[in-house]
Amino acid sequence: MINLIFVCQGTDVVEGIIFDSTEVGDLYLKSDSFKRMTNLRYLDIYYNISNGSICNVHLPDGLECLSDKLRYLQWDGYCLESLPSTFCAEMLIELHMTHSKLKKLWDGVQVQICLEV
Amino acid sequence: MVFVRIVKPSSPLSHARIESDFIKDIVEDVLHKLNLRYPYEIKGLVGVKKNYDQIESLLKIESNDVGILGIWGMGGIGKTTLARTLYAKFYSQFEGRCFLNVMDETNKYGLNGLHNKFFSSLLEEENLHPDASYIESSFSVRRIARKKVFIVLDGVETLEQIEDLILKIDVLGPGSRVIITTRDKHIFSQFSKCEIYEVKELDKHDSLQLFSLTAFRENHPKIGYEDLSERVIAYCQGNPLALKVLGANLSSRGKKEWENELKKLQKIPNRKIYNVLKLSYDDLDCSQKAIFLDIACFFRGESKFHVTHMLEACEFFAKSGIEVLLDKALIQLQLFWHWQFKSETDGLEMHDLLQEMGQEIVNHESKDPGKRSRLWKAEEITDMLKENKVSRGCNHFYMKIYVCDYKI
Repeated sequence: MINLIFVCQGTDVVEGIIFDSTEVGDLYLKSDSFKRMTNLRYLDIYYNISNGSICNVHLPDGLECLSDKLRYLQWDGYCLESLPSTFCAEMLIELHMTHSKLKKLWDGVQVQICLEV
Repeated sequence: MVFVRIVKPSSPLSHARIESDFIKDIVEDVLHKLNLRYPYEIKGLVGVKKNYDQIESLLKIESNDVGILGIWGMGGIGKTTLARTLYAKFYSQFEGRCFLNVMDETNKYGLNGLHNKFFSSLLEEENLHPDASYIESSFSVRRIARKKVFIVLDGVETLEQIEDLILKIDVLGPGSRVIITTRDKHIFSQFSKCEIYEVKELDKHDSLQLFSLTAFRENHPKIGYEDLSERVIAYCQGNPLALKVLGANLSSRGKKEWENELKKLQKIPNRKIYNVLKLSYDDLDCSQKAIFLDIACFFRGESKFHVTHMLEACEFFAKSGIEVLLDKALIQLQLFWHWQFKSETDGLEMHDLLQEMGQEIVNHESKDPGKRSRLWKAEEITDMLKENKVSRGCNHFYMKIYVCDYKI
């Protein structure tokens, strides 16, 4: 029997991503899309809110992990109600989640952090 | 007090603004008008005068026709400086004005953002947030058509970036001027009437002066450094950016280190300006390199305060690192209007050529975007994340096997 491994191309080399999702079509991400990017410290996903478009980055299976090394997280139009429960925001200093469905930041307990929202 | 006495408490005007607000408005208005009348002089710009005089005559500022002036030349040669100088000198004579860094605006906010800024600056509307919606109505086009405007489209890379804006040029009010700067002369082939000026490189004398100003803070090389300086400037091909960056890099360093740098310069193939600039980058330490790359890929034009805060958190020693980059002329400070703080603040600016160099360095890390440290191109990010996409229901799926990287 062959065990299939779906390889996520993002590796632990990736430190920062700035992504203008207006420029691309609908994108359906698997829940572990960011799993291997363990050194990600800057993530900025935005889109042009002005022309009435909605965010086209979808997470049909939820989101499992985000790098614990994130300092900056912006995800406009984030489509889930909470951030991954495994996400440890100890290093986060900025969080921007405009036009998102976010209701609570985490399920579960978090270490207190120095966050400026 | 005058206003308060005249208006009875019952009058609706008593709810009007207080006197100090009026005074503030008046002061702002007077300052604005004075600012417009204040003559602009070329100061501290070496070798710009020669180019400038020729270019000013091409602009034919007295003519009542709509004029287009194209400025082209290699990166770092001083196109933006020339356009800025012209803008600063003449903008007060126009009813509407805008100066757009096309490459930077498009990268950050897309074509929509560029158009928003174009209209809001020309119509002087306080719609400066690039994301804010702006409906480009035929009404606003008609309003622009009645104005004498001065437009600078700086750093145009492709025709698509300005195609829609050019359409508006035909309807601009009489006496309007448009300046376009680019490295690609073909951009101008689209215009029927367009004066084109190629920016000339600095001659040896001006090169040496500019270099000395950054390396020694004097008009001439320090005694004992004359020969070394001449050898160094030979690699800059009269390119002001290269002269400044090299000068800043060698400033306050001993002769041995100069010889060392010269050895490195000699090894550069084709004497490309890009490689001359990269020497300065190579001299940075690890965290300074990271700061430079972060600014090139993510933070160009952002507030210094914000970026420092962010990069300090990344443990890059940003406060001192940013100062080093400023000293090495790899970045500059530029005041900009911060829409969120509603005040002017220091922004981190970087020359287009240096930004490209930074992005190029990141691109060279790997052919595979997933193995690069920084990602900013939407298509590459999509491709990388898509690799991870699994079609549902397992009707088809693909397998990637990297023999060397992963165990299966």
